[in-house]
Amino acid sequence: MEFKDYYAILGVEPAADDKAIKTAYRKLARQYHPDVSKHPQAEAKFKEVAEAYEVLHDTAKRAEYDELRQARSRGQQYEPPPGWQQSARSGGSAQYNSGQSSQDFSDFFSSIFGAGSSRFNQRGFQDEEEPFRQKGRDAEIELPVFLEDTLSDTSKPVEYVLQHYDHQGQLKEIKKTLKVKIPAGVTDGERIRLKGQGAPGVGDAPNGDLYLHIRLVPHPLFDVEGHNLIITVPLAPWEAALGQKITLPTLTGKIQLSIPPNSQSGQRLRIKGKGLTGKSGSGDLFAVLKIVMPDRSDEMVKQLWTQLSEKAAFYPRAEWDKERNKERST
Amino acid sequence: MTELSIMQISFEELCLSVNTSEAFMLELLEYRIVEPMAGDIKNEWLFNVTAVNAANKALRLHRDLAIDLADIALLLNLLEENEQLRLENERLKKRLSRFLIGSV
Repeated sequence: MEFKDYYAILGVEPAADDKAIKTAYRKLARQYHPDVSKHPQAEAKFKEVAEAYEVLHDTAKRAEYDELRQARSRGQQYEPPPGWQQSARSGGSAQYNSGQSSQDFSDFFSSIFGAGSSRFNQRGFQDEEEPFRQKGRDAEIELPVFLEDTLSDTSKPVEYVLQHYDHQGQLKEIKKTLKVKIPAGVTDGERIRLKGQGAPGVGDAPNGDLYLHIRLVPHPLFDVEGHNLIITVPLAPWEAALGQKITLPTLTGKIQLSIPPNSQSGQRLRIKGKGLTGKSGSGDLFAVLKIVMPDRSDEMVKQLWTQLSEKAAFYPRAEWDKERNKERST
Repeated sequence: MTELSIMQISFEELCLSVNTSEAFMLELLEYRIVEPMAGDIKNEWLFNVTAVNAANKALRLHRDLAIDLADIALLLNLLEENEQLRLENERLKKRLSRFLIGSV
């Protein structure tokens, strides 16, 4: 079993006083706490730091640990005492979700101090006579949902893995498959709770819950703004100039849309009721016009463009000249 | 087998889910870390399921980092605002990318 150097983990000298240890812990805890840290190993690092602090800030534990450390430096190999096994406790999923944190200390910690000997465990521990009971850990999974699925209630299969310590302290993985109902109108980031589908509880305590964290899958054509959808419509310059009837895709099939003559890039045309379903009715679909150019022209087309440029009498940068003239005159 | 989806829960259910006392939960309410969506009195309160998430987060920060609840309310608000801004940024970049050639 690997020996953990708690002083090195906290970045303090072995002779550090309580104040130095507390300061070091606070600094690292804030740096790596999964709720506020973007570090990819945040949860693992935080657990390590929390465990180091758990030992070093407690006089008795620190003394015991220091003894072990001395023995090791004298060349003695670290051996866990026989029968140190972790007591039965409910693990959880890989997701750091429930209010129970830092409960599963490393094997190294448990081998010295036994499981359930930290203040973190006290909430689940009733008293010595009652059997140990604790609600199972919650689990959370990201559930990608297509925009089309949000238009009405849908049923989706969901697969996930629960990690759980059985009565012998063995880590077991439970694979679960469920069919879940996704109500109409769910939005990005919403959570749905499935009661009792988390890790099994310890003793006769209830199972934890499963949370589905809804993530709307980006659509190749439609962008989402609240309950509205936006589609960007490419138009040829003459279509914008002369107007055009086009076939427009929507989430529920194709419709006909009339582009008015003399339309502009960036102009929005509203199609009522073709957005996303909301709790209070449907949003709208906005067609945003985008004038695009052919990427090459043959000689004849070029001539036509030249004629147009001469006849159209249109100068788009008039605003710039206006500004320059204003500056000159002041 | 279709499982029951729950999106609104009672106060009692909230306390059970977060595995904390009523007293502590009432403190979270006082600091508006969680807020009922509906109901005028405790027995009628209904919370969005996200309240469980917020309460758990507050509990962890309070216990692990020894941050006062008053400060936690501010911290959670800022974190939430940050996340909303990040998502809006992503959405706007996506919309912008429809007009630009090459990366945004």
